[in-house]
Amino acid sequence: MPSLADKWGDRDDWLRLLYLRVNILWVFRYELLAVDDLRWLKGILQETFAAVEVHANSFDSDEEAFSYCLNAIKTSIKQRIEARGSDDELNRLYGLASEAKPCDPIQIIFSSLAKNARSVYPKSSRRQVSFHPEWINNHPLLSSAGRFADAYHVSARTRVHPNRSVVELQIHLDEFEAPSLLAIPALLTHELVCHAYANEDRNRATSIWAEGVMDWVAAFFFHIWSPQLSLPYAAVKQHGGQLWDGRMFPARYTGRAAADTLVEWLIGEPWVRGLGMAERVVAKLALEVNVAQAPLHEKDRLTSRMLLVQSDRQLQEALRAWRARPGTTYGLLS
Amino acid sequence: MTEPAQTRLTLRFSSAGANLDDLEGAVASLLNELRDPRTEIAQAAGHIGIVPEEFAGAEGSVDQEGKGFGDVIVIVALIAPTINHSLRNVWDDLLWPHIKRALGADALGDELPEDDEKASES
Repeated sequence: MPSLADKWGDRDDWLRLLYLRVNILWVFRYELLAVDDLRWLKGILQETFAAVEVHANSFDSDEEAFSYCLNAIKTSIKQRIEARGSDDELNRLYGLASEAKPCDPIQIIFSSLAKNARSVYPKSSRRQVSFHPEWINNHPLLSSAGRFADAYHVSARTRVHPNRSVVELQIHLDEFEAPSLLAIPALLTHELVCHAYANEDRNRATSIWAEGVMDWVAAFFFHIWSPQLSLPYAAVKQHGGQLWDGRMFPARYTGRAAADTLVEWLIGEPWVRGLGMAERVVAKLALEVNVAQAPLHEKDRLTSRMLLVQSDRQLQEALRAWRARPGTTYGLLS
Repeated sequence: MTEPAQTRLTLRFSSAGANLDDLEGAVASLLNELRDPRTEIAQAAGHIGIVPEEFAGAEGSVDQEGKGFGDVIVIVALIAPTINHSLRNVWDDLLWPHIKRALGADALGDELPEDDEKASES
């Protein structure tokens, strides 16, 4: 397989190409929900991506390169109008390309989600959280027979240090198209909610707490935060959901089931008014436990008990005690 | 607080997206560069208090360990007999970022705990 250097040159070249691809998709982001049904957009995007790969690094700045791309797109649209006549889609796409300004869309998405994540975590858990795009040489999941495991050529990982976390967004640029961009909010929400502020003492890949219960919390917040991202909510929700569903694994199923079981028990409590409140209570509890100074295996043990909360009187009393004094998770973690 | 010196480090990863020879070559090349004060990585090491002499005799290897049906573990082993710092920090702050830059963030899979049984504790 060609190496990353064979394909892209150096990392700065790759970053330029990433910037251009993402910006081009961002220009047409409100068209992306229907991209498979549109007549022209897919072809225009493919042509532009191909031209970008050839010319991108002959410009002195990202902005000049982006300006080149916009001119290429407008030329492409005009050629189609000349050949086939104008239509609503071509007029709309031309208008979008004419008004476009360059920005850093992935940073915009990250900043919005990170601001929300900071606001829900207790002050005592604060870390500096930063973002870093990383290149990867293949689809993040094992693929077979030349077919990719899913349409999302992105993954993410968070490196946690005592005072800072670095969220890495891993991008397989070769096949980075609209679905990958639209799945980024779900990926980043998971990293920010589950890991960026967590107090974990060991590797968490199979933890029913870290990857299970906290993933449920991430999904809870994803539905609240994702409409605020200057991306079409329907598309972000659709692709985020598909990414999540496609990348489920046993620890995640178990942890999510534990959270839902706790929701079910809470609905029966006299102080909980309905499903929405029960879900908010579980999210609040999980955020506090996530930052608590306790070994991850204790949090996994709590998850196992949550699955049986209906018959675990001690856990029920500990939850009621927590409700009376929020911020104290001692009775929940031995 | 200064981390205690650690002259040997073994890391285990769930998989490798990069060719193992390329990984081993990258580790060897970086350890060489760490011995040369003119290189970018040696200067970065200097910023965290590690001098080139500490990498005298340092070696690294990347091997594959078959584990169960279909499972492959990649082992990265580092030895630095004269180092006065934590090899873990050397890996996290110096070697891995450079390997990622050269071979991609998927060059190695997720790091596995020392004791796999700990991963299933509940």
